[in-house]
Amino acid sequence: MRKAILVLEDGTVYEGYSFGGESTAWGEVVFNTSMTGYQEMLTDPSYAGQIVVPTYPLIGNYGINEQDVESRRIQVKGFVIREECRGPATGRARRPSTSPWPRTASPASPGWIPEPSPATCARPG
Amino acid sequence: MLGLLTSEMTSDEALHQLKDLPRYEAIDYVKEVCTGQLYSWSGNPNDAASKMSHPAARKTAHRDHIVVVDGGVKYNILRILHGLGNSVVVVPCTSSAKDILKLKPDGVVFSPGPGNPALLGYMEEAMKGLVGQKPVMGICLGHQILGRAFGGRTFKLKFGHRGGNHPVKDLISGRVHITAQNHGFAVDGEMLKGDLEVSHVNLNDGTVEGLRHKELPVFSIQYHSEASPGPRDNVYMFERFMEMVRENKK
Repeated sequence: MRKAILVLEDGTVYEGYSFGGESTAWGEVVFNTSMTGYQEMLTDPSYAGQIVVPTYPLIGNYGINEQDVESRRIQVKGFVIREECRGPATGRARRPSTSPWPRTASPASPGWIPEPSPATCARPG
Repeated sequence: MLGLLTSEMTSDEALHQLKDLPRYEAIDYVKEVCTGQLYSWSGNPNDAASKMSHPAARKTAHRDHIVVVDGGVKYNILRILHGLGNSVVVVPCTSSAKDILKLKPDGVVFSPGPGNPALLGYMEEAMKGLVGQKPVMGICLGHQILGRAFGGRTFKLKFGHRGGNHPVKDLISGRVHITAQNHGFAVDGEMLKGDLEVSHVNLNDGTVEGLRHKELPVFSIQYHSEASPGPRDNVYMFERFMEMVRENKK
């Protein structure tokens, strides 16, 4: 895993590791205090132009499913988490991947699971 | 606050680049996320276990025709409206009131969406053209557009409201609802003109969370009645809108 940094405009630097895309993304950094709903957050168009930081520390623990998608693609510019769950446990998950980020998609189906955008994600080391 | 997330640059390079970037509040993100063309929502065959389907309404034929103005709509709004027995059509954010009225809607919903509502004069114009013509419901960004159409100012909150447990008081019933929220801007209720009044306030910071018209079938909420993610307690807002639509048809 490659090192990644989150740099704020006031000069604060947070170090972590990238999971998902390895690239560069910028946006308004915002936090969300919900305890669940990372799939809805990732696909909510209201997060366009934003890097989202969920305050709930564990992300990915119930995988990604076909019902909870809120638009046709990932909308956040970036996602910053404390800990990535590598073994999601739920019957609804269609993507028991090691990452909450879906890896395939079939756009023909209205319930398709969106591809990651070029966004970069980071978690602390 | 702007931030840059990178696995390619050094912190000095990132900081340097951050200085040259446009301000978040100066970019119209709505045009980036909204649909380019009109489409109808016919429900989702893969979504049999639709989280918000309404069992009572599902068996009935489509009753009302709802047009959703897409400023960055979430599917759950479409799922709920469809689940309540409506035919649902989604139109681009740039649609004029005339474009929308041509579709002969029984009611119009202005969707949530990203960014600064002050940049969306074109949606404000559409809102002005529809109020008084058709029942209108605004959600989140749609609420801010309604506020602005009635002379209200919108401003950026220091941190924004994003989460699943924001208490909101309905000033008419006195009841407090736990709501899902995702907004960085809010309506200042002070400058509202006409017969628009504040109907809901946030109990954490007192900001405006809902508006309603004293005479016309027009209301809006700043929070997310469609939940997703969040408490489903506020889905009744859609039922309230449908009551308005049916009343208006009489």
